[in-house]
Amino acid sequence: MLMHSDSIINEYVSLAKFMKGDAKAEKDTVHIVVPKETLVNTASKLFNEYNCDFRTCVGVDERPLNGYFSVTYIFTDNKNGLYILVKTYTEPQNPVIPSIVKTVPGADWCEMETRDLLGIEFADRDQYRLVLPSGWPEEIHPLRKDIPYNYRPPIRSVSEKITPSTELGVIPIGPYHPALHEPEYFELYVEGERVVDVKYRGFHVHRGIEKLAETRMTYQQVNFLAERICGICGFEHSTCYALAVEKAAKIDVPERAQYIRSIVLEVERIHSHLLWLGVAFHVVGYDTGFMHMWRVREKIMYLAELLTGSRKTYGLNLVGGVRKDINEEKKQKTLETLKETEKDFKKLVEVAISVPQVKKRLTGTGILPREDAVKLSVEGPVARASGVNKDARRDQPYAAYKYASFKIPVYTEGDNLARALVRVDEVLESISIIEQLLDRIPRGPIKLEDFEIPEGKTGVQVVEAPRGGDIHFVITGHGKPYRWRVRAPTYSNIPALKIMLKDQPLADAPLTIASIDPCFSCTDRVLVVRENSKTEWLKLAPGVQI
Amino acid sequence: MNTLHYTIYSAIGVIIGLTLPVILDGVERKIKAILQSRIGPPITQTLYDLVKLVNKEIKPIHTSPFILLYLLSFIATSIASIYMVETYVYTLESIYITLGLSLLAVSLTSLTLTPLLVPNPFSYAGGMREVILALINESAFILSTTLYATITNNLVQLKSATTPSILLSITTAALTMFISGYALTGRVPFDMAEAEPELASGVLVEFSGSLLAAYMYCNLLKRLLVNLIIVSVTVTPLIGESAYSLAAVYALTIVLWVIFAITAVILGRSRIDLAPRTLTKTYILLLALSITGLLVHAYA
Amino acid sequence: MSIVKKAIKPVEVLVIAGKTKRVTVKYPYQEPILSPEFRGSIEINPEKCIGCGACVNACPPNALEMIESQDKKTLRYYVGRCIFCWRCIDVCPVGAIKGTRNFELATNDPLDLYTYIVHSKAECSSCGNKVETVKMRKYIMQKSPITENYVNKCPDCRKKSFINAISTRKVGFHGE
Repeated sequence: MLMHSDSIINEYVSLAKFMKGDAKAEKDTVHIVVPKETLVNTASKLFNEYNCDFRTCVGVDERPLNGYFSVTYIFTDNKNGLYILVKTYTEPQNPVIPSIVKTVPGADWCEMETRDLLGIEFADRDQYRLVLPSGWPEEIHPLRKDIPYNYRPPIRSVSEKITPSTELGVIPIGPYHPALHEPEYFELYVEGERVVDVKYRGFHVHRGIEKLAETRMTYQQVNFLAERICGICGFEHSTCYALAVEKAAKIDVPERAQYIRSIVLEVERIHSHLLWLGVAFHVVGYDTGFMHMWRVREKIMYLAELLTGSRKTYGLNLVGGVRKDINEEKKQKTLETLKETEKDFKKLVEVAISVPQVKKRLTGTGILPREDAVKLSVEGPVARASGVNKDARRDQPYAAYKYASFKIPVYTEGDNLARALVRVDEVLESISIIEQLLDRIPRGPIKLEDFEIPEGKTGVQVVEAPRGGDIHFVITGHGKPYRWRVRAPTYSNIPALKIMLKDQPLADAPLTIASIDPCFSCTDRVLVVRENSKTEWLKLAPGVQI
Repeated sequence: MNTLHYTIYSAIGVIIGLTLPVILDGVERKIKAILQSRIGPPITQTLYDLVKLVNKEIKPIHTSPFILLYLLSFIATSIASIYMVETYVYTLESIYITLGLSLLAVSLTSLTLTPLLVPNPFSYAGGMREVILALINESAFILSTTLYATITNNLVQLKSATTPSILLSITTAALTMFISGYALTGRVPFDMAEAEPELASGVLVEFSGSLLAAYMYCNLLKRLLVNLIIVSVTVTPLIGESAYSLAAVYALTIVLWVIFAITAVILGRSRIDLAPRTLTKTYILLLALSITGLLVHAYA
Repeated sequence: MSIVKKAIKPVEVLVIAGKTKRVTVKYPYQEPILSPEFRGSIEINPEKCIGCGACVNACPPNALEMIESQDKKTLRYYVGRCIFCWRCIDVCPVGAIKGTRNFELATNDPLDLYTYIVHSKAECSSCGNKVETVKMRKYIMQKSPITENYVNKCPDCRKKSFINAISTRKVGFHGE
């Protein structure tokens, strides 16, 4: 949290040496390299004894650099604000790495994604295809450096059918469904009106962002790409990327830029939570609450456009600073808008939560117990509503958060109402943070003009998005990133849905799915255009073929 | 007033009764929009929607070819029911209101069974929910309306004294009538048969063209019929027989529709296991009080 | 009394609705609500543009592209790909690009979405190739103290001549 005491860093270094590996500490990151054989023990020690939080794993094709594949597991030590990166190498001909999923259940999806996209096999676990579509040829692994980014393999079209069942009713929700905002597929197995099991299949809109950044974009252009990972939380993705690159290149960004980044991050958090509350009311049938909540949100959207130039996808971040400043007039307007919003919001929430149907349907449904929340490493309001006190703004302070004081709302019931109340409290805290930061913002430049980004450096950064901790991992290359990995918070929250939906009445299923605030655009990251079971070329204009 | 006048006025009343729901639905949407701080569609929007739907083709569904007949039979029985209610307004004889209520029960059966004819699991789930709610609400509505009509008629015609027990009986019967009538109109919080997000793939998705237009129209007509019955039973004993009683009844039906619309805006949707439980408990309590009051008055 | 108050609370939404009038706008019959900072599409001034390609390098979605041919260099702006980030305006050395507040860009003819700025290329006196634009050459002459030795050459020939000049001065003969 505060000072990175040397004693704790020395403990990690000695742990690495004990596991026959090596370690190097750089400010708040500890890079540990261990051989394959001791990987599972290291991960298990970090997760169980040191109580580190598991975030994600990253597979990197390092064959052009040193002839190996590598997999890095990212842990964070929340009490001490440290990032622990555990890296291991494997040979290129037959890459196999022991899986840590038995000790760290949250590693399930990221290992399968690495297997699909890089071809690295994981021992001691059942493997399945997660991200790539069923008809994709086995030998083509898109993230390997020898596959060009615009290569289209011949795909055998396979249509995935609904699983038939004779004892239980099967209700398919999605991929296109009025209740969902993005395509995903849930199969609910029901007995009467009670949900007994859930099957999830996502990754319908995977866009190949990581491959694009490695091949045809420059450092500054990736900011704009990162912003478009998500339609609601875009700014925090671009901030996280910029912070990760600045950390890797050891660039000192002017203080004023960091303050502006924090202020706009909080504005984004307010608008995201107001959006979620409106959607939750709509799912429960209380449309009046939905319309009024979005009316309150409209003022925040106008404020965002005033501060940055666009209602969404602000285009504000660059590596080295921000592009627009906040002058005195904008500051006054911001403070006015926030005061009005706070009053309107408090009144509206009071009225809306008192509606008997809303209260009855939110209380006691979709419960996630604390042990499951810790085991699956869930993020954000989902974790805080189940009693896990975790917030990256306090644990790994970044941008200007160390200059503001704020509370972290934690509830213990773990039901839908707790998740709603966590978000309501966070909106009020965000308003207070913005007021504090606007008060203390220092003078100075907002952008660094001249800087160099050295090759081969690693930077990791966690940013608290409205939905939880978002993590970006960057290895710098020549003029553009060598590897960029994004793990959005909803990625960790979806596996928790299985537990939340069991034994619940069917009518609450959309509400529970909506309560984790799923952002499937953040979760998936590629696109396959398919019409009438053949791949179609999009012809936009003569001579422009994508 | 002779029977010819009654028949002409009743026929005009039936025509008004058939066209009013479309305009009133537009008014309801406008009120909903005003209460949600937005401009909303024009009042004639529902009319435009229905006209547009009628002009589109019907996509064939794998179900009984007589499905349109179910909806047309609903409209026919509703017309008969409206006529009966209007006759009650003019003659104040309770037989007519009983006939009107039985015709209502028949018409509601055909409307409730329509979702069950569609071969779609969401439609079955929605249809079952509709059946559960219909069983509870219809029985409460018919019982309470009959009670209220008989008691008020006796009071007005026999001019017997009003004791506290009979007053209790009347008010609880009236309360049940209003609540079950509101629940029968299929507004929030009881519109769970089709409007629940996870079920939004049932009847409203399978039907198309004039079939969908007929289904939407029948739901609106149901609302008018229920409102008409409630208002006739409440207001006619007070007005008595007059040439303008039918006009007054229709005017107050419009007012009741607006009140129901405002109530729908304030509430959220209930859940299929919560709603029947709450409703049953409420109805049993109120009806028990009403019948007790009646018995006390009769034997005391 | 407080139970009654709690039961009546949902009705307060009518009070809220009464205080805030209708907030929606009958677009397109009324003006949409835009803040003063809104970013719309861009406009390139063909007089000022020198064809340097800085905007093409900076554009994240490749909406601005440079099309090379034997005698002409064409800057093509495709609105369909533009994300209105205004990075091109940031990096243009001569300020030829202006931001507008246009966002109503729909059209029936997709060819309307392309804007072309054509520059003629200047010939290199030593190799005869045409590489840079005429205006770019004029810009370089304005901005840097460049001698006649180098000004009429293409960038590659300039480099070669410069290296030859230095090697002649230091060593005494033309290096290769």
